[in-house]
Amino acid sequence: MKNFFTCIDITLTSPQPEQLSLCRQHAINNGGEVVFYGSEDLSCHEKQSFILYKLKKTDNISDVVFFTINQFCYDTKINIKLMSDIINSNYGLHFARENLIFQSNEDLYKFRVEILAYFHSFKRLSKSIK
Amino acid sequence: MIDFSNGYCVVETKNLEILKDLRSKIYDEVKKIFNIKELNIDEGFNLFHNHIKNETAGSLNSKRIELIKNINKNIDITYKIYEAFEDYIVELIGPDVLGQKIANLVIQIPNDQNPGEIHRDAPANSPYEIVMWVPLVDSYGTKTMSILDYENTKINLKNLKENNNWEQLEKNVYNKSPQLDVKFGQALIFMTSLLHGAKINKEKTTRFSLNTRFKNIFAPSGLKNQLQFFKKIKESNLVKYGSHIELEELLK
Repeated sequence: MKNFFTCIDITLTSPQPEQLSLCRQHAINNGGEVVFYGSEDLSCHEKQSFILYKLKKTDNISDVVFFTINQFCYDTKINIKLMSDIINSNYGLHFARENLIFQSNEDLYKFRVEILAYFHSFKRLSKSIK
Repeated sequence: MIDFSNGYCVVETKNLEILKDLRSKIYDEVKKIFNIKELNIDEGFNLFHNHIKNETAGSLNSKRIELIKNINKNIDITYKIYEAFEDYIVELIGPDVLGQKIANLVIQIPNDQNPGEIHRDAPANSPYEIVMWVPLVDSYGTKTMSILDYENTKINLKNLKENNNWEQLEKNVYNKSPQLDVKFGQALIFMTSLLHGAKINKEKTTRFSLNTRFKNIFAPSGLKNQLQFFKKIKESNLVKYGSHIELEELLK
């Protein structure tokens, strides 16, 4: 049984229980359960300074599920370095909304076109909505 | 070259075998779920309504949902459609292609009072997407799709804003839409921003049709989450190498 840490998107106006519900369902669908909850602080959500630090000091976590990949797109560049660091620290990396799972850097590499294109599209859309 | 000056076109597959195979696999699922014994695929689809006379609306809907779920689980419908119409899709959106993860299946039995209402997909979809509408039987008369070209869509949306008269808009779409007979083996390709819908099917046969969407990987997305609704179908070497370089920079 995998033990998931879930990290919801603090910037969204949608109720947090809805995000948690999707993350929980994702964990169940992938042979695990959510055992710990958290989120980035608003002051550092763009750089995501909290999550890897918190993962490392929490015992018995095998995977981390984020509500959305958007959480890695709030800075000026996509934070793919953090994705890679999470994987290199031996955590499975999941995104509930997009139903994506990365267990290795190879998984990440194979999906690079989709992720990079998504980031550019996300930034363009965010700009037009503002 | 395709004539896409009106925002839509009807094209013919260059590989009918792919579509025949796709149709056959879908029919196998239809037979299983609706317990149909008919072996001839064309007859089975066209006379589908004769086999479901005793079904309640609720049961029919549950089976329809089960059918859509099963065919998408067992068949990569969007990829098959891409293969069948690849040249046209690449001509319209380029060689770096995203396709919709889950394709839709529409069943329009004769005199069904709830046809697809008039609407446009974009917005909220991206206006840079194309819709592939692929009938699994010959579609003609009222059994086909109604669609307004780009100019008429603009005029009618402007009128709707001024008059707030949806009934008039619906009439205009049906009156101004060309008669688009689309046979099995052909596809109607159209911009997501065109007004389209279906009339009540007054023909004596049922229409089965698929629809799915494609966009260039780097074209602006709509409000739908691109990673949730689309998957990569194909990429050019340029994008393959370019993304490698971009990734290396980001990982430094």
